[in-house]
Amino acid sequence: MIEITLSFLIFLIAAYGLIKDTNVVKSIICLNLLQTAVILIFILLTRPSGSSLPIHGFSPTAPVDPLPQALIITAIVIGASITALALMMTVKIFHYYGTLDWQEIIEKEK
Amino acid sequence: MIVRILLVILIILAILVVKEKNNLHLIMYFSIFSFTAASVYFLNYALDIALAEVAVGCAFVPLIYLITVSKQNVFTVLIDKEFLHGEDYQDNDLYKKLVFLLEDFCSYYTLELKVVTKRVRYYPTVQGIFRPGNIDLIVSLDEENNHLVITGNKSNIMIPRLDKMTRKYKNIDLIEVDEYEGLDE
Repeated sequence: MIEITLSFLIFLIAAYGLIKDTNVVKSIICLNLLQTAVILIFILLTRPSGSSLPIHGFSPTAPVDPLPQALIITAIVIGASITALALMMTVKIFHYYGTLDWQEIIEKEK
Repeated sequence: MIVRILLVILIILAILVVKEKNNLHLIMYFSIFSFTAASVYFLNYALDIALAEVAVGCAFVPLIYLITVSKQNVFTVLIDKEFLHGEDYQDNDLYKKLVFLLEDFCSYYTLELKVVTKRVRYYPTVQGIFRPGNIDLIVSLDEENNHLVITGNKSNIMIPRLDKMTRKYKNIDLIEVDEYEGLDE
């Protein structure tokens, strides 16, 4: 239970960074932190205490459920590709506006 | 117990990421964060996720961040090839002034100067120059008055700052254009 609470704290810190900061690069990094926190919560929730490695014939006790892990791998790969796309847009934004600050870009647009 | 310590380390690293101002330090903290998260996955018997996280979160994603941040400080200037025509263009008074201005500007705002030379008159619109090559400025020669004309994108926040520096040079004019305008009216 403590582990899940700590993971949720990471989620809250990342959300705070996403709201507060005006740097584009930092916003994208905070999105990545959010994703990591969600994955942590997912893994810690689906692991019953006393379970062991999900390898057949290797573990003495009941193994952890491998299905959530298989789902999460997809999430990691999609997160990486979304990051790549967002960073490509960042390069274009920088060359169009000459800055990477949300606030300055919004003032320029007015 | 170890998992709890690692989670506390993760929280500290997340706070460091939120508080950090320097983009390069930010990326390094993120890389360490991903590695620690991979250790937590491993200790919770999620081996395949730990593998994927080490490969993607700890190496690939910081790499593309580094590429982005290294492109962030480049200030690309396109100089018309017809201005650089001839062998003695480096002794030209205008050329010396231009180089001095650009180096002064880039060192003041800690930008990295990158110079490209092309024939500008072959391009029908400004958009065709600015967009594909990530060009920030176009420098061309006005032969009638022997003036240098610097063309910048209206949306770029650096152009008004360059304009302040350009005012003390009489032979250099700076004009701001919208991306969708033509080069010569």
